[in-house]
Amino acid sequence: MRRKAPLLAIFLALVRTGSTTFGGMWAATQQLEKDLVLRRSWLSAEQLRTSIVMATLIPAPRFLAFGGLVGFRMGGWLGSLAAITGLVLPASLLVLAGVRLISPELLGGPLAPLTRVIGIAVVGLLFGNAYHQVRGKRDDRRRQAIGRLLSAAIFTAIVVGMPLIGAAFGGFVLGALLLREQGGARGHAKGQ
Amino acid sequence: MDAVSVVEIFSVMVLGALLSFGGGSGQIPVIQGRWVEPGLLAPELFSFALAITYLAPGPRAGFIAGIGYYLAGVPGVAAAMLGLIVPTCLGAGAVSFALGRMERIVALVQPSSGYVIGALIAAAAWGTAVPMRLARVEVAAVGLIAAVVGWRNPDPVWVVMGAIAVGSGWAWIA
Repeated sequence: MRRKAPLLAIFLALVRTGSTTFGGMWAATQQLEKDLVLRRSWLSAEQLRTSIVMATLIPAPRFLAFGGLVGFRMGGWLGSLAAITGLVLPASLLVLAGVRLISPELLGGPLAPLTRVIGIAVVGLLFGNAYHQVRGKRDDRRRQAIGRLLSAAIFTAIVVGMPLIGAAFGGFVLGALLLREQGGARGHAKGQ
Repeated sequence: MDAVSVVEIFSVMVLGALLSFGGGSGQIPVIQGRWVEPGLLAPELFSFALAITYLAPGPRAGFIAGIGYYLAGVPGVAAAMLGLIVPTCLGAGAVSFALGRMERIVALVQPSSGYVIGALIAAAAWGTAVPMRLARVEVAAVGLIAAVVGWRNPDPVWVVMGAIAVGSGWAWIA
């Protein structure tokens, strides 16, 4: 497999992602689009979405699996290894520093307000990113309406207890039936 | 605390990574069952390593570095990280190979991918918010942040930096 980017560039790009994103892969979707699609042109917007979806199918933590897919696309097996290592390195080093330097009593006591406010910010980030995804600004009104209904149905299914993977699979099957490209209708191809 | 071998740490982390299929935190129940319940890892240390990841950027799976350290020092960190990275790398490679043969299926799901992903993100937000039992003012803060993020698309690091500033001020006053 021909390498599309140097291993060091893959590693450093994912170190940057791993050190500037908070709240996991879902909270980072907009930032990933800015960095990997618009800035580096490593992926198209559609390839990014496909990689995000495919990451949920890999038996591994989702964000790392996403990094592995991007790394593999850019540099094969070694690229995947460089990407996963780069992505998890900042968090691991910070956790390591934390367990060595901070007393466990601090986090549940004096630092409790800090962790709570960060938690609130992460929830806000997640909802904001969800809105960004379902806007479907390149779709016509009918497709937007169908897409948003589909989103609401999947969200409800997960909240009432359906396994995430089953809800996502069902959503894709319904989406393929309801949002199929017809007669040059434009897809949900933001950034293309 | 009894010593745990690096081979065991590696094996348990591989198992945890494999159980994360579909986006769950597979390491958490495995670590609880294998080390916390038998008394090899104090529950407060386990909770502490997990809690720190909320202050750290990047994947939450980074907490396993702390678990590896508590169990076996620096070699434990290396074993835990390898146990996380190796199965993820193999899975990503295998799915990448399969993707090349799934172009028709990928083309079918692409028109709905934004809507499906949006729903999954919203469900993740809900799942994070519910155990926090947010007060009304906190719900309003979530709504405000969500509106700003959805509308202006700021870099998330600024949102978190703002939260750190507010949270630090609150912690200092309290």
